[in-house]
Amino acid sequence: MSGGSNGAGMRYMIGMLAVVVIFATSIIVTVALPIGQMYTMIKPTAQGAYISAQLPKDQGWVASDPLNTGTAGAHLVNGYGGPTSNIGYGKVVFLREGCFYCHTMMVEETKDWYDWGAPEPAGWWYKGRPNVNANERTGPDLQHVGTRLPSKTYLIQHERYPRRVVEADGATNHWMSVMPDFYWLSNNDLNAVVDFLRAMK
Amino acid sequence: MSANAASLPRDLKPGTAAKLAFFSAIVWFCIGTIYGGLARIKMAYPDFLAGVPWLTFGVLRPSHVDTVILGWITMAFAAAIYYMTPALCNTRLWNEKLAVASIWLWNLGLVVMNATFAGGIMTGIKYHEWTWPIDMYIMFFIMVPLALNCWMTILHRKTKGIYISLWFFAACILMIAVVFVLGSDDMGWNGIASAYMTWWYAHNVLGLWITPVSAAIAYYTIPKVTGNPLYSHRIGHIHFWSIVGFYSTPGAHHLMAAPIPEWLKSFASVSGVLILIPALAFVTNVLLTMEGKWHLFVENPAIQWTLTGVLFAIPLNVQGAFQQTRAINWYIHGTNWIVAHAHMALLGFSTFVEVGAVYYALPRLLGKPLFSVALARWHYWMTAIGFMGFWTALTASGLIEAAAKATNWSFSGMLIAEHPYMVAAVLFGWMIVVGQWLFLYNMIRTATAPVTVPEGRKAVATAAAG
Ligand code: HEM
Ligand code: HEM
Repeated sequence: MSGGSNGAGMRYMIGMLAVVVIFATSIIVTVALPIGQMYTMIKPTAQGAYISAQLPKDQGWVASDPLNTGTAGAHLVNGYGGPTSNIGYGKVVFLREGCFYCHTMMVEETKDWYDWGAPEPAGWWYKGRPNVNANERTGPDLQHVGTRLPSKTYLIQHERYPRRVVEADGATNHWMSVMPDFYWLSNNDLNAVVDFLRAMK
Repeated sequence: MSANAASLPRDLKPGTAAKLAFFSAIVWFCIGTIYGGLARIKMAYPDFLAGVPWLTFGVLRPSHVDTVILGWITMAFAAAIYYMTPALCNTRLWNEKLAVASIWLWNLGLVVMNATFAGGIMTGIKYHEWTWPIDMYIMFFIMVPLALNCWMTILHRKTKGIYISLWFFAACILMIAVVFVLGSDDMGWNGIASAYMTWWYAHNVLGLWITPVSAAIAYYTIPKVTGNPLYSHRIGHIHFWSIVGFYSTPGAHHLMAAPIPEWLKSFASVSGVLILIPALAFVTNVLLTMEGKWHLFVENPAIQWTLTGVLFAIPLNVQGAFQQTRAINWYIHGTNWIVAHAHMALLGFSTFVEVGAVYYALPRLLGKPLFSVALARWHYWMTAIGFMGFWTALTASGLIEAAAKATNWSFSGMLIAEHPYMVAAVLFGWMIVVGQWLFLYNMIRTATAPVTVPEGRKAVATAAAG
């Protein structure tokens, strides 16, 4: 501590200490309390229980899955094209392609229900991670897409060439969708992402 | 300390790190806005570059956002910290070599980050798309060196007091490190807690890093260029402590329509209004410091940019405080209105302040006059007009989206209605993009210009060189 007198050095230390104390208080109020509440009080809904059973391991890039293959829980999710369920891998594709930037998966507690179905209690997302929810809604909400659009054929066609599938309306049909084509996705990927969407009930 | 400095003859020239960081930041600024520009074109013409897997919107968007935040804004912050901390402490940077190494590693890390995005390797967490190895990389190669250099330089200062900017630098680096750890995917937050922590983190990146450090930079640039002392240190301290006290609290205002605890939403919407206190304290303090020197607003590029940024902070914060109340938020949430607010924040406010710092510091670091003031003016007007057009177009399309949402209008009808505004956003957006190329060119020419020494100072220069 050359230069500044000891008094000023003390002030620096005390100031930084005050920052730490105030910030720690804020973390208790805005992280510890609400997170504790969320972890202890939220019970899974039927859908939440179903999905979290399908995605037993956190999907997407996690320490145990460094190549982002979505196979972290492969023994349960059963890989792609397997007999039971694709939806774990489908979620990985959904993340990898950045679908979530335009499609929320959270019906808002507003007039949203009219178009996108009922807003769900927190238990719907039970143990989901990451919870695939950005904030922009450039495209429709997908929380209940499996109920709204149950047809697998439609969804596959739509994911490949969305701008040709969305209901045409005469001259303006060219602008009926801003969703880009994903025709280069492999069949496995397409199947998986569609299974994932169909599970979103 | 002086003995210490003398015993380091092989240490780099003071200012090396700041210079390198300023230049790297400008390059990333150009790259990052090109990503944004391409994404914008896709919003208006979805067939543009369709079918190229590594150029889909889902890749361009995180590349854009993370490159402008980590490569431009944060690196410009580092440059400013490396330049201003020693200047304010009247000493040299604690470890110039560490700083230079960190900036090179930082550049490498940004390349790797964008490459992983192109390959679809992302966490799916907004503003934190990079994966855990990059988390570690950022922590140890970027944050720790920056923190060490900042704190140690302050501890070794040769001045008595600590100027307000230094309080911001020192405290914000500490807080952002904590935010970074708590918000990372490695914490394993799940369920609705994962959504909440995403926004707790993202909000604090804005509130405990981007906003206060930009302000700290303005607190340096404005008094330096005008020669006026800061209007009030007391207001500065109100600003500082209210940032520390309130700004970290309203993270939940990004999730007002989500099933998180009700008390948390109410708390956020009240404490969010409190962040008008630091915002207004800051604006007041800076504008009053300009007393008697307003002519510099049109004469001096550094002041022109910094003040414009400070002035944009007024509508930005007023808009923020209103849009987080439940009465308004349900209407505009999830629409382009928010994207417009985000650009008012990071482009209109923060970026303008940092560009001001570049115009102030870089010619001084290089020891040369700015290559072209005319180019600087073109840069200013292209960015300012481009931004205002961009903001207006996005806000208008956001209002269309909001009306569609509130009246259950058809989604495709809404897309048709907002299309003209999406085209306008492309045009104004590219004005901003091209403006930054002028910026880079101007700075490269400034750096490479031969040194011209005025007659009278030749002797001094030769003596110094010899
Ligand atoms: C320094 C300058 C800039 C900064 C700091 C910046 C920052 C950001 C941020 C933070 C977002 C996320 C917004 C949100 O999710 O609400 C964003 C999104 C975006 N930005 Fe920028 N931006 C800059 C310049 C530009 C420019 C010049 C353009 C276009 C030419 C552009 C186009 C976009 C696009 C298309 C998005 C995606 C919006 C969406 O998902 O709907 N940005 N930018
Ligand atoms: C009084 C001050 C402010 C308040 C109350 C405020 C409030 C808000 C709210 C409520 C949202 C989310 C809206 C929604 O998604 O429904 C938002 C978004 C945002 N704010 Fe602010 N804001 C303020 C100032 C700032 C400042 C100073 C910055 C940065 C320098 C900033 C940057 C952003 C960004 C980047 C977003 C977009 C987040 C996203 O959706 O991706 N805001 N703000």
